[in-house]
Amino acid sequence: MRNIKTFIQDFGWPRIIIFLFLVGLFIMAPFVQVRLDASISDVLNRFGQNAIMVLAMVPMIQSGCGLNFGLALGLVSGLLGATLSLQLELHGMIGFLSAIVLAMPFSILFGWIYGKLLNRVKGEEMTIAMYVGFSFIMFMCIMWLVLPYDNPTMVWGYAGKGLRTTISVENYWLHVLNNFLAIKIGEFFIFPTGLLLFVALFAFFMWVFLRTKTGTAMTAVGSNPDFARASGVDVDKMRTISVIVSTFLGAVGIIVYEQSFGFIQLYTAPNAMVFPAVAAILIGGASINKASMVNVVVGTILFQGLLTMTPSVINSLLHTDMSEVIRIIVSNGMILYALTRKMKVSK
Amino acid sequence: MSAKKKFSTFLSRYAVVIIFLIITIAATPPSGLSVRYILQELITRLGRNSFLVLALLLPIYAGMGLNFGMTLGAMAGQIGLIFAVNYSIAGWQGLVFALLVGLPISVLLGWICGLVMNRAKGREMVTGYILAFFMNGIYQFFVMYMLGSVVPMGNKAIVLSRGYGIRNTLNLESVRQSLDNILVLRIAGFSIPVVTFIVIAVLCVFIAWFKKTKLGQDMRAVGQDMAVAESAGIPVEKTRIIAIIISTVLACAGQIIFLQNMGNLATYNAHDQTGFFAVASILVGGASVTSANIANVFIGVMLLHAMFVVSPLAGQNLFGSAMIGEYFRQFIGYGVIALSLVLYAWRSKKAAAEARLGLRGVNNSHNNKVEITTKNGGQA
Amino acid sequence: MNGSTSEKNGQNAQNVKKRRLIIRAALLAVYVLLIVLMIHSGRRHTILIDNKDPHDGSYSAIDGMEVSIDNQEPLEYYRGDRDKAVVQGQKHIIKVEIFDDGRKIEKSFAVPLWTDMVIIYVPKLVNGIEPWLEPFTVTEQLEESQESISPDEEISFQSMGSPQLEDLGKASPTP
Repeated sequence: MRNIKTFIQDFGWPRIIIFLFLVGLFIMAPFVQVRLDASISDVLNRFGQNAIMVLAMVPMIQSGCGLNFGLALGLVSGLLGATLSLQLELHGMIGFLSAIVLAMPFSILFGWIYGKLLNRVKGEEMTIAMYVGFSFIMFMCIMWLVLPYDNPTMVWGYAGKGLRTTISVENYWLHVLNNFLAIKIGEFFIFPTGLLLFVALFAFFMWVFLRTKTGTAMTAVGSNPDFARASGVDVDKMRTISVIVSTFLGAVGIIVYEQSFGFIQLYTAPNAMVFPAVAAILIGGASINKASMVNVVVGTILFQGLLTMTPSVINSLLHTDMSEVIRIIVSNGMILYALTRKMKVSK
Repeated sequence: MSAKKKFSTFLSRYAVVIIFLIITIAATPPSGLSVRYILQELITRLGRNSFLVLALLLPIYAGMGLNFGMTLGAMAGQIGLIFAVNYSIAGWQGLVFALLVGLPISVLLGWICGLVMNRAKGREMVTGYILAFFMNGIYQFFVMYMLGSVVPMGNKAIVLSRGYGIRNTLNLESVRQSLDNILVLRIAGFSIPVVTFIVIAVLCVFIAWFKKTKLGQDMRAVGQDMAVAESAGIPVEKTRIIAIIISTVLACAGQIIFLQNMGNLATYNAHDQTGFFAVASILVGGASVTSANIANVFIGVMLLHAMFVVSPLAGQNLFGSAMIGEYFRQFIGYGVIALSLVLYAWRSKKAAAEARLGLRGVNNSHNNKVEITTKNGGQA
Repeated sequence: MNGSTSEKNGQNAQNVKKRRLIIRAALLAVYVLLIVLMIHSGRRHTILIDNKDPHDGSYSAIDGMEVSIDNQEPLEYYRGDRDKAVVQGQKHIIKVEIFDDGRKIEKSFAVPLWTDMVIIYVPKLVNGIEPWLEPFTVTEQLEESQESISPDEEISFQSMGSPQLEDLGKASPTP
């Protein structure tokens, strides 16, 4: 009995409630004419799509920089990589991988600058990150209009100049991961093996990285900066490294998302992807300065599962579209919960 | 050495104001707008927005940073207006009615906001920001599903065709400009809404008076140092909550003033911008996260809105694209908040570092020797 | 000595509590009073001014007249006209000036608080037939339209399709 109690305390009531809610939705599904296999397939798909962006939150949390509300910088690097890959007419797996490779220099550059900025403002990172993210996205909006792309599938047809808001990757690298070794059962269920393998691979890399010397130093900086400094660790350098890694993962994350989703979404779209990632890692149990692979996986499954199942089930049940409102309440509620938790190690 | 230092301190303190002035002045000629038009716009916008920005003062005073949770007050005000329109209460009576209805709601929401912020000390701004989004969800739920069904709405014209939920846009013509138009002063071709400004002036007087009361002094003490205030016997938690409640109520009234000038209510998104505009205004006016005064409010509203009036057209004429002008405007808008926050954080770190140097009794010109220990700024 | 001080302290505490309660009750009363006042003085009503021939022929419409409500602009009414005036509050004055014989009639009336629309049959008013003021509801409107020509436009608020919500986490507001 006591074990269960401690487990519940650790896991947290809100997460248990969400988990039970999700299970409840799955149970209800067949009764409201929602196909269970399609739903599970959807959830797996969305999990894979978003997992790496959630993973991007981990380094900065571990190093004490807080929740990366500035993930936008990484997302934009990914967008740059993706659009360049299309501009260079690269297809298939090569196109996908080159998008990542092309995004790398941008993400390293942006991450480095952003890291230096954050080091100057220790203590207020989150709010600043948000606004740096917003203004950078606005700046990129101008750039998307002005940069000399000329691939006809990407630019506005009429003027021939300036990128479209949504660009399809259908002829380039749509589903290259998803379809890799995919397992199809029946008409509605596709197990996106390649996608999940890729996610597992990156999660593994991160896990290993956190156990290297640099990774451990980073964690030390996050949980006890004075001790870390006393041990001779260069706090600022570790924080900058964490920001660069986070930014790069953000870039990879959005490219993975795009190959699964099918579209590159420019302009103000990246804004909508930051908060879900934050919410997911918090639902997964991370705190402001500690996050693990388990948090990533659990959080993404719960969050994306909720996002997938709620619309279909509740809409069929109540014949109204309450899904949007529920999403807003649940995801922001989770972030609030995490922000108000008493931390074991004070800031 | 000292003069140069003074100059650089001055620059960093007023960097944002200076940047804004430069951008606005630079963008005025290409925008093609007359100075007269810009001035009239400024007068209107001052009347419309100042109250909302003034609502931010008390939380800053109490050390809680920029109250992004003011959006909650805005939502309360909107619910008040929905009821005013529902019962066909027009004119300034409609506004007062809306305020009276919104009052208990904003007190409740402000109380919740204060409680939440007390549990997230040190992270109030992000928390307020997220709380605003969270409450937005609740607001949407209430207005889209509860109003008209569980809460009967007599006026069927404002209800959606499906029978419950309020329409997307509410025409506020029954209360449109009813505060502004009570007394309009027309001089030199400008039209000035006198009563609106009187109301704003009353609020300024109230705030000035409030700072002198015991409660106001308590807030200041809490703002400066919570631990010291606690040991002095001040109920820190309660004082902070009161600061947020007052701010939320003021935001409720401010949003009503804002909407009566606009003339219509975008039921589901009118409050989205409120926090952003107010915060940007006060920061542009030279305020920081820990200190703000009434002058910051008015200077900020004027500068921010002048820039917003001028830059879209300037962008359009300079770059040949209205979109670019629009994006540029938003880029500057967010950029300025980011810049202000960065400068503030940077300044306070420097001040803390210098204070430590002072303790060591080291002469300022020998800064470099103790560089290593102060490089990491102390806090995580 | 001690006993009476602590008694006084106890008494003071009681007084403070009582005072607080009274102040709060008073504030609540003021709040309710204000709301009632606002509703009374602020509630808007639409007054339909009717100058049509009735179906039962009990009276006839007036050939030409000018009608004004309170301090509003007077409007001209001819046989078969119907127009509306929007007013705030309950007590109002209607002024009629008939062209033919130059008669001027002034009557004051009160609109029931919760009635949105009322209709004044001016011919009835002029000829002293009671009642010349009645509440006007949508059902009456429908009855009328079934009998004769459709009535004038009603007040309507602007509206647009179905609600759209912000996307989750749409964190960048557009100024």
